[in-house]
Amino acid sequence: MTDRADRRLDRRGFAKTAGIAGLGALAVSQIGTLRAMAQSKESVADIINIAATAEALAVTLTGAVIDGAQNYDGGKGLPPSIVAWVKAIQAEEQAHYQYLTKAGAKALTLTFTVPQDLVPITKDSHALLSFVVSAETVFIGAYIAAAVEFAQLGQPALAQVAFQVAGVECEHRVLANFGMGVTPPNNLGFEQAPFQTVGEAAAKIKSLGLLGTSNPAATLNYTDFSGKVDPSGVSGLTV
Amino acid sequence: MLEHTESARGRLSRRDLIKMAGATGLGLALTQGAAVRGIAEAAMQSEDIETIINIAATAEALAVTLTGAVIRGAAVYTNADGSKGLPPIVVTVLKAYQASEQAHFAFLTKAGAKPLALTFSVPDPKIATDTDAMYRTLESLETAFIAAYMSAAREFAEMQKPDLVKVALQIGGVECEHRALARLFLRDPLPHNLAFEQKLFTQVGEAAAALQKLGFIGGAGTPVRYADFAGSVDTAGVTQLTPT
Repeated sequence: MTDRADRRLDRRGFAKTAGIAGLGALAVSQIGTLRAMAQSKESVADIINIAATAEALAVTLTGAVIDGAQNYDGGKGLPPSIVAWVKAIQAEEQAHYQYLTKAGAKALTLTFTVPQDLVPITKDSHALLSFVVSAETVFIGAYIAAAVEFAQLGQPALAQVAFQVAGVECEHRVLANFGMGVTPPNNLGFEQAPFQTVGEAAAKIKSLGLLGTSNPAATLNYTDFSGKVDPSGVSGLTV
Repeated sequence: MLEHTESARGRLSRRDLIKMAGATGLGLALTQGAAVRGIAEAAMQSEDIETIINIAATAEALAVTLTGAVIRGAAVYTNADGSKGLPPIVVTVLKAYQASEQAHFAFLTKAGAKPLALTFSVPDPKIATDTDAMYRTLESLETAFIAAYMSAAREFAEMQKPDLVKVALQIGGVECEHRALARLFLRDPLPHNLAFEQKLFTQVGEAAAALQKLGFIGGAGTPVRYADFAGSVDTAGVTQLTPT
């Protein structure tokens, strides 16, 4: 599984393995569109496959947090308000996953790993919230890259959807900051956009050991959590 | 003003925004100010980059002005529990709000944007004295700003301007954070209540028209001027004040 994930995460591998998701044909007579397409290094399929993988990761990790909520902070447990927030985050990431897979996305893996150096996120609330901020920052950067690439590919409707998802990830980031006591929690004038491609964001996630690692502290399967998602209180579950 | 009880769909709809102003359509009296005419014209035409960034700069100036007025009057607010004065954390958050919106305004005007107005109106006096009214106003405005930048992103993508798409997301994301924080301060148990941000407009001009109908531009309420607040923006704790 790790070897397969490694192969898939190679940029050339993405281009080889990605199929066309059938999200809209481009008129080859449009020179401007073709020129714009040439600027994008990834196809629509590449982008949504990676995005779906990230969303599945988020559903899985938040699900594990919810299941282990009582174990945090030496047995004190996560406060009920935080558990409610995490449940809503999970519901939103699941909605994103469903949208992407309905559009033809195929997650590159549905099995994720918690590396040894991330064990604190399974038992310490501050470590967990700090991780949420870091992870959401990567996801935000990924969706900004996706929107840019969708524009280059002549897919404005998809650029809009990327906005609709990115905005939600931004909300997760600021609330995790607030939960940690970061002052001010809204500490950015402009969201960070460190990636040129969605593949760069995937490489960042891989570098954290979440997509396969040796001697993991835990191995988690998306399917163990996706059936228990609770969307209570969340609206706008479809585009 | 819109009550925090949300519409049947559990979120602020475009109809909710328009209902707040009691308006029925896009027709505007030609005798109103140049800013209002400019907004009406923008809403009715297909938009170019200049139109979009002019409207965006107007919205950012509005945000700088309103948050500045709230910060300046922090001591007079009455909170839901009857106590007086905005809590320190709220003032800190609002200062960061204002700093971000000023950074957006600075970027847009440096790019050539000319705001359609720099004097605004406060349609409901309670916004200046009642904390929950103020939070609800922020939530409504941010919902409109988010939808405006969403439209901008899509329009820029249609024009194949990926660099502008990027900036629209970088700004829109910050407005989403502001929306969630306004809901947090309203004590909503789920500040982040949306799986997908709401698409309310097909053009940025529609957002501008919504702000006008809400009474913030060309309205009859207390006038407030951008120039009275722009010089006292406090950027402490806020980074990424230019898009990278």
